[in-house]
Amino acid sequence: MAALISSMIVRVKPEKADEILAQLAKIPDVETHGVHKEENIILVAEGKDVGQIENLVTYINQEFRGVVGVYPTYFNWDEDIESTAAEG
Amino acid sequence: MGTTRREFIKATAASAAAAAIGVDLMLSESLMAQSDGTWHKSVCRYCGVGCGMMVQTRDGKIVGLRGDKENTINGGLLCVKGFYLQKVITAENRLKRPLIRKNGKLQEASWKEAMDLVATRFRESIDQNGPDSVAFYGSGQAETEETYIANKLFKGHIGTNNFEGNPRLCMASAVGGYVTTFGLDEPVGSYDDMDNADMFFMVGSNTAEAHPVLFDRIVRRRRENPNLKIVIVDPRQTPTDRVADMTLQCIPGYDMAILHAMAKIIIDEGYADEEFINDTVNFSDGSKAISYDQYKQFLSTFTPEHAAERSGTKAEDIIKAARMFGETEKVMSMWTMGVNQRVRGVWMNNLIHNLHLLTGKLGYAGADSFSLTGQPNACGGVREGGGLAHLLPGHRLVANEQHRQEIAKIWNVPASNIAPKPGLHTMALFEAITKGDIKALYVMCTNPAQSLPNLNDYLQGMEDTFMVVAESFHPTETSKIADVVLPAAFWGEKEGVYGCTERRSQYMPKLVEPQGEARWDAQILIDLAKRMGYADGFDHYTSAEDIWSEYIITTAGRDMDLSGAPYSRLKEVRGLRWPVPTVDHPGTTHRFVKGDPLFPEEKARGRRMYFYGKPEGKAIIFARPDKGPEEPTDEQYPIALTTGRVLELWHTNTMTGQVPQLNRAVPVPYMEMNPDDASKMDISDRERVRVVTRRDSLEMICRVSERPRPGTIFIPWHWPESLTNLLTTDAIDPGSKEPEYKVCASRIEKV
Repeated sequence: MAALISSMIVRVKPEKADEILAQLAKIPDVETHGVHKEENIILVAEGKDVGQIENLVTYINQEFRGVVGVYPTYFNWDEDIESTAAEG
Repeated sequence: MGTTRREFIKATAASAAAAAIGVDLMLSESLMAQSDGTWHKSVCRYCGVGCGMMVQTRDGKIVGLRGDKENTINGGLLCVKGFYLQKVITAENRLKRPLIRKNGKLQEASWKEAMDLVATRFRESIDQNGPDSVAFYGSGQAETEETYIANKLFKGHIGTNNFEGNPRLCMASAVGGYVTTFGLDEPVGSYDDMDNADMFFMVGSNTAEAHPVLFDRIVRRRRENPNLKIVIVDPRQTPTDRVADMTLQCIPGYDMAILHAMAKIIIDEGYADEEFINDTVNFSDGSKAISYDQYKQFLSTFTPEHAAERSGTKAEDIIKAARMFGETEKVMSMWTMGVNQRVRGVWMNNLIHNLHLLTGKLGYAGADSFSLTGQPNACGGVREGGGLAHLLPGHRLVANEQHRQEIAKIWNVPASNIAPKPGLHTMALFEAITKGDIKALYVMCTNPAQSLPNLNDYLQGMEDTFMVVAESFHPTETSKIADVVLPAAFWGEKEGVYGCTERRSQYMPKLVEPQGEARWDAQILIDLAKRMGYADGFDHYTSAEDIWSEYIITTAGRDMDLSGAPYSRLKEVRGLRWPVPTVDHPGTTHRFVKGDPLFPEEKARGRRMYFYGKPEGKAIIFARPDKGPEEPTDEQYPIALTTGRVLELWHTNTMTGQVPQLNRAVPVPYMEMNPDDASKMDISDRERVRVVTRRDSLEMICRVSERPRPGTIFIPWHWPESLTNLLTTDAIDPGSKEPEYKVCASRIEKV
């Protein structure tokens, strides 16, 4: 069961954006939501603990050529992630 | 068919990211319309940037967090340290009950027993040895309300100015620079200048790792403005260099000559704004006024070649940097600890300001001389709140009789209660503790047993004195040796105000109840005041708002006027930048110019800038002598040691260390060494080495890296199990009293 869901903006050099997007999409438990305004990849990651997500950020920062920075935008530490969402 | 919470949360997460960059992902409206707890506007707990956060609570717990898109500081972005916050609140090492040392061991006690003991020991010390036998050591991470209450108790009631805080260790030189150059503390401009600058001149600042969200603003500015220039002066290459046009990789402690040489080139090649200089600037050699011609004469020795030799950089790079500065209309300088933590930190600040005053590149959009801050409320609580030994609230001085009278009136105490002599600055304070002159010390929200330099000289004193530590976590290096440890409420468990780098005060709500029996620091201090017999001065406070409301009275009519920032307004807006004298004033982006509510148009008589903290409204360009580090390298200690931060960890790791998994990113203590040095010493990457200074030695892993220049090693200072500050020097800047963490001499031994 996931303990943390996080979204982040991966800022990239525009010429590398598509290539990095494709690579990110291959990472397990990572959803990508496209390249926006040439230099922004929206990424949603799911992890069993914060360490896993944080290490993902470090990995992207250090291992992907063309990444300028990784900026989290949302964290959720929901303990009841498998249930049906609120009615309505 | 209902969506799962996973789908809902993921959609919310993606939506938050999209909002931060101003796009719409066209996610299902029904999905996004679902209610999921309550969102509250707050501020990040970590560095001095002041990022806005929206915090989600449900059933009395914090369950989510996102960057506050409406906050212009970060526009919805955060940095990785945000991951830690929820985990930190519920960390196993949260202290939940008071501890008292009995028979050599810290044991749980009731609040009554602990507070009676603290009050009794402080009272005994004061009665037997006078008020200066006790002291307070606070933090740029405490709320303004907390520092204000402590200040009032110690300076206004106990009657000692032995009241310090850890900003002495990081920002005191910036304060000294602003006050001596411009007459008043804190920046002229604001973060807004970053969005308009055509050049960033960055000195001793690894912005990419220490202030990641500001680094993103720099990156964005680069994208918007292809002609943007970025010049860095730093002994170490850092991730910030990824966006730089040029880095002057200087020898640690020898960069003053670069700034003087740039000033000389600016004047010699006609980049100086002579009208601005004539109208707005005086000159000084530090002891007396000098003329512009005398300043030029002073600079005559600082040829690019001389500066290059002195600093270990190239003359052509210095010339190029100076010309860029001169040719570019909107230049913003930024710096942090590489400038401040030096024996000539104030002078370095002065020299950066010099460049802006020579060229008039100050006081308009994109032009500023802007010190970056390390802690979230060092500016607000300590610099503005008067949380140092020579200060009183509202940018006042204890040595100024009128200031003492003004504050005494607000505190409702006799003016004679406030001692006229400044108390002991931090290093002198801990020296006095070591000598046994301070009998009782109250430490709030900080960890001096790890963060002081040359620790060996001070640890025994801390162990021997009666030391109270109010802290959210235990053990820290300081709480381990305390006599009483008081569990303090953490971020999210209390309301209050933080004031960040750009003069902006921001409100933080209480979101959840404190862990265990932890209490708000201000509440603990008020309790102590009452037990010590000062109830009259503290009985009237029933809330954080009461304290803030009294505090902003101290700012009325001052340069940092916050009269227009009551809680009712701060709860609604994303902070306010002072001066903000009335509740309908929008706050101030640039000081000392039209638009600043304190700008005296009559006195200015057509001048664009009027530095109203100085006689005649003129700032000062200083001819400061070129001085190297206190402990230069020599044959015995041939390698310069410099210290700093890494992205994933923060300060003494008290908070970030609560998440064991996070240390995987930076798992063990290490030093960085240039490949040239490693080759000469036959040291391999990952090899274990011993770093030796005149004070101590530490063994650690060597990372062979191009980052430090040859002849220099770099060690992060986060790990309690390997105290980097056993190695550092406690030599201080004679003006700011800030220690020179950034440079000392070392040698490396194979083990």
